[in-house]
Amino acid sequence: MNLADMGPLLQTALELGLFSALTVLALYLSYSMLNVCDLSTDGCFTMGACVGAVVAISGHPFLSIIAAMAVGVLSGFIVAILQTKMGVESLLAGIIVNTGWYSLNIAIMGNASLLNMNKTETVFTKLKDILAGTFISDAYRLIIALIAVTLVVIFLSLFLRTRLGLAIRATGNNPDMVKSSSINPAFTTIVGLCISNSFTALGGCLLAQSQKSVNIDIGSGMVTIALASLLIGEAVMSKGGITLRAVGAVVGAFIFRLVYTIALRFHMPAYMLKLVSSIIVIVAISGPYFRKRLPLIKRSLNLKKQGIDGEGSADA
Amino acid sequence: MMAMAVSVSLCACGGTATGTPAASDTAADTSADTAGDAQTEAATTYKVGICNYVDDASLNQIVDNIENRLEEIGKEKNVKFEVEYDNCNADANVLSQIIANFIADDVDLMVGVATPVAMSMQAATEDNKIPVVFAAVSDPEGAGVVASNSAPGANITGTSDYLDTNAIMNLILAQNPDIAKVGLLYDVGQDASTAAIAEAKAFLDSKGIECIEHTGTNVDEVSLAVDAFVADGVEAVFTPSDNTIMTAELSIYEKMADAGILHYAGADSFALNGAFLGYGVDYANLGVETADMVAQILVDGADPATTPVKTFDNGTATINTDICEKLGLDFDELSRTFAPYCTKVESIQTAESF
Repeated sequence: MNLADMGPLLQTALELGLFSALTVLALYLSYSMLNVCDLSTDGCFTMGACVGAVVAISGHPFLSIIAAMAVGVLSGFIVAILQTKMGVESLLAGIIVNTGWYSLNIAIMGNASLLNMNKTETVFTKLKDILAGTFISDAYRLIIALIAVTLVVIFLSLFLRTRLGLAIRATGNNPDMVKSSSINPAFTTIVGLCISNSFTALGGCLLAQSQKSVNIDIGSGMVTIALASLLIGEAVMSKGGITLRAVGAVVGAFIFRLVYTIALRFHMPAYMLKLVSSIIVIVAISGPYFRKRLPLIKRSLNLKKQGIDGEGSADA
Repeated sequence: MMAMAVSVSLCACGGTATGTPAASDTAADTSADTAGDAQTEAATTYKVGICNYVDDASLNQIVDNIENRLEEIGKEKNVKFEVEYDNCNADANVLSQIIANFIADDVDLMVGVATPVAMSMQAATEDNKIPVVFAAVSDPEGAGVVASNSAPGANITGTSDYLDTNAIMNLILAQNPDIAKVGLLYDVGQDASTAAIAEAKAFLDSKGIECIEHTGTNVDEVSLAVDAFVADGVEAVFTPSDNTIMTAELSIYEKMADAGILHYAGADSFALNGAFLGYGVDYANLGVETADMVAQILVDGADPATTPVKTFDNGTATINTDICEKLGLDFDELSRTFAPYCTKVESIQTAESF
């Protein structure tokens, strides 16, 4: 693996990182801000991909993006209603919706488990045609991904400073305080989940269209990847305002994909991919955890040493 | 980080150990054979990436034959084929990763076994135009991988296990002229099945026979579909060359045999795994012809755009004698009944792989 290989690999890692960054930003809103662990991410991602594909195949490339986001809002709405109005606990609500969406996604795809878009007109093919012949013609996927992520980051940083945005942040921080300030936490949860799932679905739609195919497993493992990227981002850029932390989430997504791509270049068989993801997640979570505890560990080791060497004085 | 590095290197060791030894064998043989000539080494090395769709008897048979034939050709023409093999196990995400790896490894040609792999390779080589040879794509024109079977028109060509559906329908009618209900078992998501099922429906409608469809996308759903057929009381079930059903065949053949349902399928590997009859091409020969096409493109410089898709005589009926016994049918009688409709009738016993 030499330096010449790195160029295209970096571009692929950047593209895939940016597509999954949309889901990471969705989890930034739902997990970091709203403190809800939304396990319906996999199903919602797949649903966005399926709806986007079906609408694009029937001849409406731009409508497919709007349709995917609308379906994401619907998915988030259902999860939120289950949690706030129907007494289902938040983790369970996500799992239930995820399971239900498997059947619905196959139904959306017309009882098939995969759809091909080799000859379909999408925003990607449109941009590729526009850029054909210019020196950046290869980068059409990257450009669309960058545009989508930038728009989402700008939206989030503006939205989270509005009153509703602040109410959502407060709900995640201290729901009782929010209730006593006469803000309805159910309402803020619903809005927060609707918006975050719309980004997840958008991410699914764009990834499927850039790959020219959608299959029922496209979202499988997405929540793990997104959470890992979010945590890597937090480890990298923990101090900073809303915007900086959102950018940190995107950087985390890119770093995750980079490690993933490098690991794959070690010629391991393809079925090892999921194990690699799990290991990266473990390192991403335990790494900062151990780093925080390092002073304590060092101290207890020192104390033990003192106890063995010296008289075991009481000073710490 | 340490743990990850250790586990990754362990995986890497595992990976290279299972890599094909064919390339190194070819090099050793070539130098031994041509000891008398002035040349003692292979003149050129070609990197070929083979991606299999799923582990089933037909597809594995194809891959084995491709690899063996490439080795033979390598000796004949004094070239070396470095083969990279991987299997996506029907997971589309893994499939895109495998293809991306092949491209990053600078392969000279990619071989895609089965329709989903061929379609993914088509999308991936749109810009870089790496030649692709597909193996066992049932309907290349219908799936859109070639412009037409006689003139593919782009960087993709290959071999097709196109199935003459009406021939199988004739077999069903020959065995049971008064048949009233026929079931169609397939996976809607497999492009290989679409044309064959449409032809089967048209044929059955024209004869006034009721046809019932049940589909499944994985082994569990296929099992449920077969239960539904048993409840519906069908007398025979037709499956085209559908890889999803093939993967599930070992799980469903006993249910069908117990219920007295005859399973007619579009490949001999189905019969191997317990279906009543498999009708289709000789997949071993298909593998050999695919390897010949690879050599044509790489060594002889043929252009994939003008290399026509190769189809085969699919007239061999393979009957499973264990199932015959179970259903109380006589193999010799069946051979006589089917003889007018096929080029050959063969027998096979239930097993997991060839």
